[in-house]
Amino acid sequence: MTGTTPVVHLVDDDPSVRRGVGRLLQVRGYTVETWDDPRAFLAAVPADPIGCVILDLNMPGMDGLQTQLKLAALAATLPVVFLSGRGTIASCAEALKQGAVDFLEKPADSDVLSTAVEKAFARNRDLRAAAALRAEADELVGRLTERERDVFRLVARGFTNSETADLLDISAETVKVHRSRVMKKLEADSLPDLVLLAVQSGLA
Amino acid sequence: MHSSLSAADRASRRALDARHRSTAIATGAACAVASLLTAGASQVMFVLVEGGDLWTPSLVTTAVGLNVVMGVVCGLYAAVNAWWPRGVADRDTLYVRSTRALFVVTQGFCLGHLHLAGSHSSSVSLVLLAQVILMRFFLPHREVWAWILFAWASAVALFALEFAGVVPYAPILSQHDYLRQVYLDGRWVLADSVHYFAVSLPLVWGTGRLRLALEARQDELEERVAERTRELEDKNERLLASIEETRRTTSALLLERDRRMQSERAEVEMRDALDRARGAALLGELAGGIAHELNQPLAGIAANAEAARLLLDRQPPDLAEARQAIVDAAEDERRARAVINAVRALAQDQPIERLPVDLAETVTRVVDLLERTRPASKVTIVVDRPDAPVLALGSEVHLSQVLLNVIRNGAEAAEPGGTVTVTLAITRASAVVRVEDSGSGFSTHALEHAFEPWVTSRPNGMGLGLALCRRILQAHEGSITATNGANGAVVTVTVPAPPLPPSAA
Repeated sequence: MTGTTPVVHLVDDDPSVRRGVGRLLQVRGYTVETWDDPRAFLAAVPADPIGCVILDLNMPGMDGLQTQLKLAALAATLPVVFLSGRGTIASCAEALKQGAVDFLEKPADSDVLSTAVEKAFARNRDLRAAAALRAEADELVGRLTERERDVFRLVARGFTNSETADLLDISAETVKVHRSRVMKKLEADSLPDLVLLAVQSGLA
Repeated sequence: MHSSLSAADRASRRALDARHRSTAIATGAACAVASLLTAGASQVMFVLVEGGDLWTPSLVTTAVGLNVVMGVVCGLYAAVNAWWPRGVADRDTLYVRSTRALFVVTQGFCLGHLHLAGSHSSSVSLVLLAQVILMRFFLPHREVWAWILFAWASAVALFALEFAGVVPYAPILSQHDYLRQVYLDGRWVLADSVHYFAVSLPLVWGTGRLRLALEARQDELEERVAERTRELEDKNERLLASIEETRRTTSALLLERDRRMQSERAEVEMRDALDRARGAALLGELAGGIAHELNQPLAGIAANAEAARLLLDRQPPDLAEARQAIVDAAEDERRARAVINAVRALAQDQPIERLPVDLAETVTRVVDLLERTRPASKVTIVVDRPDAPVLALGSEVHLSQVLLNVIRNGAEAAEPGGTVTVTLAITRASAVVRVEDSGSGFSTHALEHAFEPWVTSRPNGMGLGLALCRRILQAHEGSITATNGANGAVVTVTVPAPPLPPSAA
């Protein structure tokens, strides 16, 4: 589960499915790990997983939707594809609402499955990139003092120095000083850089 | 108004009335006494000046008589003021009017003195007129002391003018020259002034007291009225609040009732709908279960077939892996067939041929079979049977299937090293087989749904075994129940016994 090769995690309590679908995916060139118990899978999932997970819906102990929710809390960047032998419209809607990439019926066509896995991989890449940007932005913003963060937020929202000074009840001179410190600490060269950082860190 | 007064209000009113009454009596009495005393003093002065007997009738004696009348008037004033019917507004008005009347009477008598003493009728009339006009229009009703002071001052001023010869002076009774003499040398003026003043003082004092008493009562009453008003407003507010509260409670109760009726209706409707839907739902449930059970191996078959094709397409083909894929697909196919067979068995509704069967023998055979086919199992199966045969009326094949299912379930539920105890018993009309395992028992959910199709607690179980058992036993007019015993799950199978010959009992 380490390295940079994307892994397809196949979580299904049924041995026929694990064996057959696992083999098919391997033959199609994917690295596959199979799990017969969703709890074991959740216990082993890394913090920043590369790849995706194919979940069965009906499993004893913990069903697919519950597993999906737990997974979102553990590793939100790992996309989920459902593969169910007894899916209902309600469970399908719920799964998609919870962010599933696709909801497939067993037995699923090999190409359809493959397309879903590719889509999930792409989603995984996007999510990881966004998370990395966010982490970087958070790290930069973390350097700011509280007051500097206030100034940063207001300036990034497009308030002028004097408006910011009014809102924070400090003088415009002070705002200028804070602002130049913010630019320096955030390694930003221009206002657009600041705004971008604010968006990435979720402050604006 | 009276009826709404509190006990404290009434007590306070009584106290005020008593004060008012005593003041009125004191005022009247003081005026009367002052009149009599000054009249007496005038008579004494007359005797001293004119000589003769104190009781000699004279003009002054006439004045004394007038003063006596005046004393009576003052007494009447006191009595009327003291015992007039209750009622604040009335009493207030009465006080003002009677005081004014008393004053006018007093003035009348005093000016009568002047006239008798020799003042010109026109001057006396003018003074009286001026006094009445001033009283009526310029001085406030309650300021009696000011009237009296004015009256006294005007009389003194008239005497002074006459004395100085500015105003004509013509005694009516000119034969009494002494009057003229005493009058002109000023003694009479002095005496009359003293007389006037003496009568006035108690009037001023009494009216002042009365006024204060009335104002105090007024204030107290206003305060009481205000207090009562506050109390009433308070009560009113509480009443309104309680009305509002009641209204809210009532509407909440009505709402609750409506809601309950609605929910009861909904429940009845739902029950009907459920009854209607149950058949359809059972069918759907069954179909859904079959689909799920078949879709799993089908997914395996499809995936393995596709994998085998891809493996064979490789250059060079991966024959070993392709072969394994095909073997796995065949295994999945067997599994699918097993599902179909089980469903078919469940769906079969053929009449069962029922003959006497010794369940003890059946159990022994089933346990043998299990131990042969599951040699690796570390579970001990203990059979506790009576010596006599345990006869049931039924189809041996079907009952074997039931017992095999139940005992195998127990063996699978028991942990390795555990035991399954099979106890056979005969009751009056039935043969009973009780299978208890040393596993973890049924969960609440499993207990409720143990005999429904597709419900299973085993990872790879299909959930048809117990459903099939129940179906078979229903056909035998027997029963199957599931409970939790002291060690684990307990499944009890009851099959009707054949009508026995006495020797077999």
